[in-house]
Amino acid sequence: MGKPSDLVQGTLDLLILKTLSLEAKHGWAIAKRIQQVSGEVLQVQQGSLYPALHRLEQQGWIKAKWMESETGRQAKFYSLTAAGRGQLETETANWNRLSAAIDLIVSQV
Amino acid sequence: MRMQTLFQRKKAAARLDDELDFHLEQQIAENRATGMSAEEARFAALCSFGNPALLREKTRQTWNWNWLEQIGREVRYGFRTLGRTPGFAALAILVIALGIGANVALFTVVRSVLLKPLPFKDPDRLVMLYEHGIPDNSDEHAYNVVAGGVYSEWKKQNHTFSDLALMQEDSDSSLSGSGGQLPENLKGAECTWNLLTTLGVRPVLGRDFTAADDSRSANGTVLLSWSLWKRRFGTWRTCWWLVV
Repeated sequence: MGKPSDLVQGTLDLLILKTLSLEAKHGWAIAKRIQQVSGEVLQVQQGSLYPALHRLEQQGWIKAKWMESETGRQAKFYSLTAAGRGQLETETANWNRLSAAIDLIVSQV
Repeated sequence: MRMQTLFQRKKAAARLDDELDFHLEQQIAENRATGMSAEEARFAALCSFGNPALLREKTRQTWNWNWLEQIGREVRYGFRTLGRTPGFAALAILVIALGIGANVALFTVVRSVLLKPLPFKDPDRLVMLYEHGIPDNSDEHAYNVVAGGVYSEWKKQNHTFSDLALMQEDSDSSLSGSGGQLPENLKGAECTWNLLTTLGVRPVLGRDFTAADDSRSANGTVLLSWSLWKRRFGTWRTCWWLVV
């Protein structure tokens, strides 16, 4: 069960941006989606999710809109901005570089 | 968003509460779907949610202007702490006020005496010359008044200064009251005609003294200070030719 602190520093941003790149979602759905897609390995805690969402919003990478959710209740839906798309590309490239580098070391016999 | 977190902080905070409530409700709904009772579902959701106050705090910390809010909070704490000990607060404020006041007063003096240049052209090239009495060489005779003849001799032999002018402060002269104005004592000075040109200033109105004014046969001519002119002559231009 990966707690946020177990996540590599900064990867939560990447996970959120990636999750939002398909469609606008509210916080709960983002957490659920990350959990499902990662095969229940990554569980994002609210304690890190909402600070991260608000930080990304302040940075202008995602924008929020209050809309009706599936249950009919008003919920805050986040979606990616143009700047956020650029950021997603940058972070994805960074992640690939980093994970490949770590892989090189770890897989060495 | 930036503006909202600056000017509508309360609203933004309420929105955040709403957002977190929604998350909780979703979690409860999910728990109920797995067959928990309403009570159990709520309890489990709250457990997994963690400390909501802490979460709110952490989220707010990511907002812009958080520093402003923190400064505001510090200031409020400061006032509250001072308000609890009014005696100490009054004393501290008094000490700081006195300190600031003393510094301002001192600086005002230092500035006008030492730092501010004289309002003349090339103030750093101005010097004041005095005669020094010979008899006993005591300070009593220092700053002696230079006689007119001595001055003209200095002027003739001068190679050092670009010009020399003579000035002597008068004893107070009185200006009689006219037209309902009170008489008043005036501070005046006598000078050679070239004093103002030497200092590099010009009268605002009227004419400067000329060499012709500087002879025994000439009429006495005065230049008025700006404040006296305004006060006593009502910015009356025709007084240029007024015979006093």
